[in-house]
Amino acid sequence: MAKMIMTVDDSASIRQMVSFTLKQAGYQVVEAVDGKDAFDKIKKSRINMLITDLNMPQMDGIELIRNVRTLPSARFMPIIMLTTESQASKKQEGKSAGATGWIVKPFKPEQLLAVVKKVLG
Amino acid sequence: MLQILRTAIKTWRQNRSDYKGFIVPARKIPDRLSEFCQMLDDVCKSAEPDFISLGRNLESLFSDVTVLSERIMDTVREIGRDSGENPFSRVGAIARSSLSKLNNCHSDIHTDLQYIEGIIHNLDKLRRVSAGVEKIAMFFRLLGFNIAIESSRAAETTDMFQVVSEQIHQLSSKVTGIIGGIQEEALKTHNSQTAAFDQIAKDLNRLRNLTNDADRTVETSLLEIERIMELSIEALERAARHTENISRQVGEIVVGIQIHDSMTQGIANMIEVIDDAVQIFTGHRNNRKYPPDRYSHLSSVISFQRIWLKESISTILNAYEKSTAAFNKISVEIDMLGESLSGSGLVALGECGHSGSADVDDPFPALASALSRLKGIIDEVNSLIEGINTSASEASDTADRLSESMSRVAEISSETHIIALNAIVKAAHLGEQGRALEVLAQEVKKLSDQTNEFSAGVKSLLDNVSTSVDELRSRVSDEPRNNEETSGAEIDTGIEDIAVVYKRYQKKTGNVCRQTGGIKEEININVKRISFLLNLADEFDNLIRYLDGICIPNKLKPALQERHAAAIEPPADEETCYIETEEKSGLLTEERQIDIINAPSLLPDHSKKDKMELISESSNSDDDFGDNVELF
Repeated sequence: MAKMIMTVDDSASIRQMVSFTLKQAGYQVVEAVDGKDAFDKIKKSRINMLITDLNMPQMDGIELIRNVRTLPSARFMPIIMLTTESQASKKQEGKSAGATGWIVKPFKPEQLLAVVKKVLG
Repeated sequence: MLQILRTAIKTWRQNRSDYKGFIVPARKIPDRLSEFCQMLDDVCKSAEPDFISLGRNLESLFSDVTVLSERIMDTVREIGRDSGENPFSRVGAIARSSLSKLNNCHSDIHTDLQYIEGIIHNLDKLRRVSAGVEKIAMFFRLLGFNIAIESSRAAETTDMFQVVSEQIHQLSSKVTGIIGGIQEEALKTHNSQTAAFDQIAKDLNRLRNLTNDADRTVETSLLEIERIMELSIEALERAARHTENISRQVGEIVVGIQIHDSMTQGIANMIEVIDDAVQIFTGHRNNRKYPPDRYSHLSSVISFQRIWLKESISTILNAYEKSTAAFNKISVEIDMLGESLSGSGLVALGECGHSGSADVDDPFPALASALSRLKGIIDEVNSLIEGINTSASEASDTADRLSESMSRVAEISSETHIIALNAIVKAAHLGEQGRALEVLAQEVKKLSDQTNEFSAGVKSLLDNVSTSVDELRSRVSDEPRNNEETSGAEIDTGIEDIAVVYKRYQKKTGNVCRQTGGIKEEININVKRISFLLNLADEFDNLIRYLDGICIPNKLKPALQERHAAAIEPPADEETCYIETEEKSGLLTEERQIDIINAPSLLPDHSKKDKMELISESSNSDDDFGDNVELF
């Protein structure tokens, strides 16, 4: 059965490109427009991996990761930050919150797929 | 005087504006910058549907290309799939096996003909031998007649030998009738066997030539098909490479589409920075107190946004060029993908406009035709075998009937022998009077013995015929010959399979061609639509002009002018320079410093590598995902 990956970004075009990249590689994709939307959806469905932006309205990526890590079902779920931010302090913050990896936008499809394959196994 | 005063005021104002770099009066600057921010926001938001639409089109295009690629590979596999599943390989093996069997069959039929020839020869001899029996029968009749004459000389002998004479006469008539029937039947069978022999020999010769022709055609077709199968495997590899190249080009466009996100974030940041700078400029930040160098601060902020806009234009144009180039490369790859099908030398693609090996005959119909002919030959060979079988049956029936007839002749001969012996005894009793009759009776006995000898000869010939027939039948019913019917059925199935596969292949090829044309049209439309990026760059350029209408660019700080003119990177140096200036002026808050540092550039930031390496304490050196990826 195809793995379910959630893409969280307030940018429709980023969500679209992440979704496109993953779907054509055979993954199932669910989209969320911000952290809050994502957290609500994660609680209701089985997600195998999370790819989230950092800066978003309502709930940012760091807060989302912290919340998600409190869920027993998502304690070991791979979470990748996909953001324009590249500062070390931000990365450290993401790592501390429980992020599995960090991708600075823009991403190339093969990069994203290689990372997904690596963390999902 | 008034005029002089007006000129003086104008000069003062101009000098004042020139010095600060601002063209519009200070009270109008906040409104003009607010309008600028609104326009910037509008430009960004209005571009989003175009990016989304481009993304959707790209998805659709990629989906179509994926389907096309699968169809091409599926079409090529139709011809070049593994030999075990390939109908051409299977039919080829059947055809070669059938040809080999046919050649063996020709030799067998040739041998069969020798048996028939033997039957004919024996029948011929039988006719000659039976003619001898007929002569004996005539002698019997003659002796019977003489006995009648001789016995009629005296009443005593007349009574005694009249019956003998009549019996001999009757028996000789029977033998003559039987021998006549034997000769007639032997002649008839001889003629029909000879006719069958001639026909089979003639047909065999013709079929040999046809088989040789079919052998050549089948072999040529199979060799050509084997070559095409090998080419089709190469075509599959080429198609896979083209598909991979297309994926790579799609990736370039995916990267291009993402500039909208960077642009959105950059613009949001810019609006915030300008708003903050306006707050400082109007004194709202410091309880209506104007900072000492408020013009210089605002001028610096505007100049920085101007640089950002210039860089954005450069990034947008770069994305346009890369995406256009990517679409064009995809178009070329689509052509090459199509050519991987036609280039395999399969068939002319018709609607695609490509052509396969036009100078080479299409080997598939040629193979089907050769197989049809082969099937025809096999059918004819089966008819020949059937003919041989019929001949054998006829010869067998004839031999059975003739044996029966010869048995009757033998019975008559025995009967005659007994009559002759009786006659000899009777003649002996007559003494000198019966001397002549005794001699005649002795002759009857001798003839009877000769008849037995001839009968034995005929019987031997008939046995030879029967033996030949039995062997012929045994050969005809041999297993390899029966297999020919199986081969014929398999060839029939093979011909149908080839027709089905070939029709399916042609249909698939037509579909691929139509789809290739559709995708190329799709690409052309996308290339036209992507010009929205040029409009976006124009709008950014207009926004720069709008800024120029607020603040004169050549009055900007020298370091920023250089940066502006060259649009060089990295921006971090300039940001630092700018921030240092602002920090010295005491106007820039800590939050704003972070905002400006974080303002995303649309250009790929090569300096990020250094930044990433600084924190890459757990970076995974084993996996080379790229400079912008780090796994914790």
